[in-house]
Amino acid sequence: MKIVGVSACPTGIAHTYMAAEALEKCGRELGYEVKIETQGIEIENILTPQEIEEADIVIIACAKNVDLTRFEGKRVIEVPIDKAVKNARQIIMDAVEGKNMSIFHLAEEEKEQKNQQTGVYKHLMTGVNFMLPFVIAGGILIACSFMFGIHAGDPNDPSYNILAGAFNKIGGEVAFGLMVPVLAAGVAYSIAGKPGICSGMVAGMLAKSIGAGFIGGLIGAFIAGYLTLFLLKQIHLPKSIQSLKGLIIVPLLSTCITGFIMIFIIGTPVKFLLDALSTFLNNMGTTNGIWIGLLIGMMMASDMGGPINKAISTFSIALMSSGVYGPIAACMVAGMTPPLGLALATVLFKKRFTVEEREAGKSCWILGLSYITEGAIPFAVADPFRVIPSLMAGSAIAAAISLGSGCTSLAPHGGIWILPIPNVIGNLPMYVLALLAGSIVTCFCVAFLKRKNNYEL
Amino acid sequence: MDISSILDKKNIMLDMQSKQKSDAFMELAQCFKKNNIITDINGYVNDVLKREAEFSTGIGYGIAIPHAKSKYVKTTAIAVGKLAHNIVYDSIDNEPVRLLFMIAVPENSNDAHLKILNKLARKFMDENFRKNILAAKNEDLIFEALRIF
Repeated sequence: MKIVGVSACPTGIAHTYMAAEALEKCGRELGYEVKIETQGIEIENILTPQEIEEADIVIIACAKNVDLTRFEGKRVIEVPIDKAVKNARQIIMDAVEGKNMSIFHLAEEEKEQKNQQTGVYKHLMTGVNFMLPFVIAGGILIACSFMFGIHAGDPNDPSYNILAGAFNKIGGEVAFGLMVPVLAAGVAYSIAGKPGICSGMVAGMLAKSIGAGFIGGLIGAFIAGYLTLFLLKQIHLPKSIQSLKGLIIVPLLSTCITGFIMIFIIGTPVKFLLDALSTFLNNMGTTNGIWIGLLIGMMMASDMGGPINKAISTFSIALMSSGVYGPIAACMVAGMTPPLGLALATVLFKKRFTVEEREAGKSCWILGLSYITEGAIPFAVADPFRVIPSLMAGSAIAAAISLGSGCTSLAPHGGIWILPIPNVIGNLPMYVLALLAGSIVTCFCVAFLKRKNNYEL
Repeated sequence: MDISSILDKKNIMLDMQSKQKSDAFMELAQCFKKNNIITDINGYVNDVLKREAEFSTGIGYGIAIPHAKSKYVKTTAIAVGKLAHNIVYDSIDNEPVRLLFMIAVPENSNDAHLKILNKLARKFMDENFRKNILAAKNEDLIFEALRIF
């Protein structure tokens, strides 16, 4: 039997702690695991979501208003705090017997409000936390393969090296390949719990295979998560086969339905968008460097791996084969500034980023320099409306300077590591300037847009 | 655990003559004032009584812990008072009170002293601890009983 609870008194000095001590002590004596969160002047001994989930009983001993929304659906007993100080033993025994107990439910409108305020953001953050290790480990392993030469990871290239190939396979193909599926699994898990993982992960993998990028993956994840939640609530089974519900029936149905939605409903506009953008780019003249540069930059940073990004990079690589090397140089610089600008911002404006983001910022230096734009995705998922415009602004500036001043690149990839190779980059000084300018613009844009954030150092 | 950062022996009163709750509060508050813990006796005692009105701080076994977070308090401190006469206190076990722990906490206080107070409050739930405190005859013994957390 596990018991959790909250104690709180008007001044938060004495009774909060006496009640907690009494309940924990009597609980121990009676052989139950008891943890009481003390909401005194400071909140201490904080209950984790897992502890609340696992608890059989919740005891609320509060002489002031406390937020009970966390205990939705739990068996809750409320007692006056002075009674908890005096009669903790009796309270615990009554609670175990189920006396004075009720299932706690929020008022409907409160529930809605809670979902709106914290729901979506919390789900996104859970997804980011799932994804971050994949981005960091995968990105750094790809950078490792570059150390053997830019094309050393490619078996068809003369410079192929077996170790570089392994690094590239582990980091680039597998870890990066799992990035969007794991993001989607995390979001769906946050919404619907364990039964959401399967449909979320499948939705993310489908988003990847239809070329819908991380934005497509997020859309899929929300569909998967809320569909799973809906099915969990709507499907009622006899008790004898209840365990089948979360294990087989709900994941099967939600994965199937989400998958069909991804392929036939999400996949169609993505393909249309990709085709339309390709046609548009192919029909566009390449005369006015600065304007096309701005366009390239914005497209590169808009969905990082999604259809818009793919359209512009495919277009630029295609131009290489016809001897036009300017757009691919602009693409590369525009793909480097997002992680670099964010890395710079996490150093210059620490307080505007969470601790996790500051850590992720450190790896973004390497990822950005290696032209691994994906390093910026965790930041973009966590706060899309502030981060993505900042990335687009910086990339647009970088690409415009690059294309406007006639920079070219003979290599489609490699980032900073190809700059020292003679004659690969045309107009190298302006190219470096473009990189610096774009990173600084992104850094200051994101710092400005996040100016209201104030996290502890 | 260092009780000496919030308890000064000068704030231990062994032979309080008050026969009523509010008189006892005044007596301890005067001690606080003398030792530069609070700025205003009446203001602080009013805040303590206000807190007392929410529900009694008589925690049973003859012990009470009147307290307040008050703008008249300069630093977090406790005072201990042993009463010569039992006083009626409206305690949770309805027994009269013989020992007072008065706690003063400044408004907006958020420091390490609070952690000591929290530990002390938890300690009151321990029967041996209560016995030692009630049995302590002089300042040194009271101090010692509190020091050993």
